Amino acid sequence: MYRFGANQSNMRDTELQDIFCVRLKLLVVMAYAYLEGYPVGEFRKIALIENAIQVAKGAVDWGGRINNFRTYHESNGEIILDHLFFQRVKLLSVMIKGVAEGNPMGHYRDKALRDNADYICEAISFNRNKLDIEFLKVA
Amino acid sequence: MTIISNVKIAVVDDDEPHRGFVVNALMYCVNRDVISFENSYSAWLYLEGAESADIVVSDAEMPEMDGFELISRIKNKFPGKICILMSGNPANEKMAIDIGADAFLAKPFSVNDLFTIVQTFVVGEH
Repeated sequence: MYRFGANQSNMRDTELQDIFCVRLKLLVVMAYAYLEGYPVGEFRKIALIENAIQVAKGAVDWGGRINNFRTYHESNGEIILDHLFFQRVKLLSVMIKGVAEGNPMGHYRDKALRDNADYICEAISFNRNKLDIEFLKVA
Repeated sequence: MTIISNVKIAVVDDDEPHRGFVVNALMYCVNRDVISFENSYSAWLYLEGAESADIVVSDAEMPEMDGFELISRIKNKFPGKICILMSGNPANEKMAIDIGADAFLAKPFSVNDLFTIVQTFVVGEH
């Protein structure tokens, strides 16, 4: 039997906060996959829109406290998950919905999307390079 | 690289936000519709039918029929189907082995875990 997920000592029920975190990471992966030219098929578009909607709904200010995010900035006593962070998350949601709905992108919108995704990755210490998304080329 | 073409995945979970995320992530990965059920009984009725699914991802703890019973039934009747049990309770891991689950997905899990599941069972890379 294969085993995936949390280590045995870290196992627990999933909370809403966990779901917000993983949905946000998925949204970031979706952004980079689009920017790197991975195909966006019919059902991927549906998934992009639904995930963007759910992340936007969850992007209320958590008062700088999201347990699973341990950022460099937080460890230095700064609060990065502030109002601006959540506005950037909402912006990413709008951008991804735009991608899925086929809105024209172009160089500057792509750059804005990448910059926004980079900011969020930095804020939540999410190293997307560790993810192997090559299989997304199969659509 | 082996690929299950037109893979059909079913997700069974009574927790709507959690189920929604898993469906969303898997739909994105495979670019196919992913069927979802909020209880095991509805899932079982569907899986017994002609359409069915290649992969079933089920939560362990649900009212009435739980994920263990669902997977036991599936493995008895359709041993070729891939069954993945999700749980946040470490004690359930051994039970997953006992009922013949193909994988145990320990909560809380990451996006990468779902990607790895698709790579393992759909793309056949691992």
